[in-house]
Amino acid sequence: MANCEEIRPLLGAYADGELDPIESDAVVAHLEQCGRCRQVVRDQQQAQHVFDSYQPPPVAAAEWTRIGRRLRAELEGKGEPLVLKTRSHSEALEPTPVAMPALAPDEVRSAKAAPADRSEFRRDPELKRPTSRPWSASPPPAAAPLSILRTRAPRHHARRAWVAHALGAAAAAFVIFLALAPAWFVPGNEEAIGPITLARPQDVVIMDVQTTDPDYNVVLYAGDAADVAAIWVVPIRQDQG
Amino acid sequence: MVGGQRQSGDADRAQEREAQREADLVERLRGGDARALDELFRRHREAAYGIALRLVGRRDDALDVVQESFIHVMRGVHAFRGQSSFRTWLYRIVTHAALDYRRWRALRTADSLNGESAPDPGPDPNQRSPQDEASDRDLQAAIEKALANISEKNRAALVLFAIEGLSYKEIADVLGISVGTVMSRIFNARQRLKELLASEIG
Repeated sequence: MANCEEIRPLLGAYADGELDPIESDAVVAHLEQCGRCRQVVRDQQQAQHVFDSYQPPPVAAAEWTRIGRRLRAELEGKGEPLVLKTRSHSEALEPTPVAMPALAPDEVRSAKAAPADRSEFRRDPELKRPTSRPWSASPPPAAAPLSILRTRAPRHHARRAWVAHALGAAAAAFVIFLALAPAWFVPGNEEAIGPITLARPQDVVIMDVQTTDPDYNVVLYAGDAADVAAIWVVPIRQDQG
Repeated sequence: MVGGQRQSGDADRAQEREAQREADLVERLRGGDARALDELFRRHREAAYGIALRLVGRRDDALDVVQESFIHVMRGVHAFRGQSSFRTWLYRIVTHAALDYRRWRALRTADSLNGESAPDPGPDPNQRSPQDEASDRDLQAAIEKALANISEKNRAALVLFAIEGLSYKEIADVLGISVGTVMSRIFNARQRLKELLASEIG
């Protein structure tokens, strides 16, 4: 008879009826002898039952209508620019060890709500192709309409900030290179898509990039993948005090 | 016995018709048909919302995620070749969009706490409707809180299994992981849920 350590990883799938007949028979034979594993199966079933009993707050018909209208506008090419958030694809579903930043969804929303003010994001005629100057280590333009772009390093750390900008930009270039592949890449899946492949001119894609300095690891990118307008490495956290 | 076979055959045929209908809708969406978009949205919005809500924890955020996911669908539909079912593809988009969204939200919370470790963002009690408040409110709140404290990878697997009844194989396709990993993530998610809700469910 198999021991508990061998059987334990199968118990959840056994409770769900997801085991093949051979595995299932082995579990049944073990459970007849083992009270502790029988309890684990009961725990799994009970937890599933509780999870299933959760009732999500309902959505009013008017809200579905509002979203449906927004989707139609997008289909007709009249949609507002999007602010897309992403991670590099290698990190998909993985947590990042670095504390990440200060991107307030309210501000993201305000960016969505004010597309008319975003002329700074329009394509710079001097930047023809991404290969000519795919990114810039410069701080964002002072007139940038997004308040998230106004985050700055403290003045007394200006020199350190520029070093970090340079390092961040180098890391950014690498990640942008990776990001031109779908961010939600699944090996062998040709249907993978991601924010970079979906971005259109006027959209803003916010990517997190881990640099050697955890204070500088957000990149903002405006434009589409074929014609990068600008990328900024933005300091993400003010120094304490 | 014969009756059972006939029923099973009918169910298969109904399933095939349904798959064909969905494939037609996707094809029409690819051609820019607004009615096909409406139909796909109507069919899948509740499921997308259910997944997003359990991953981001807030109702309004979940609706944002649903909207963003369907925009991704429209923009990416040219890349969809029917290798997986439309719903598997959609759920993959919703899951990733929700986890991205949740992460930004959590980071914002971390920043507002000046870098202290941030708790998972729990659902906003103000967003709950009166109907929900009436129905065993304490357990519902406890479940919401517990869900927020299960790791996002484990939670994503459990949510996909529980909400839409995806098989382990389908969940593996959605998340891009092996069936064995799906097995352990769902197992771990439920063990954790049981621990967190020990006082409520005994």
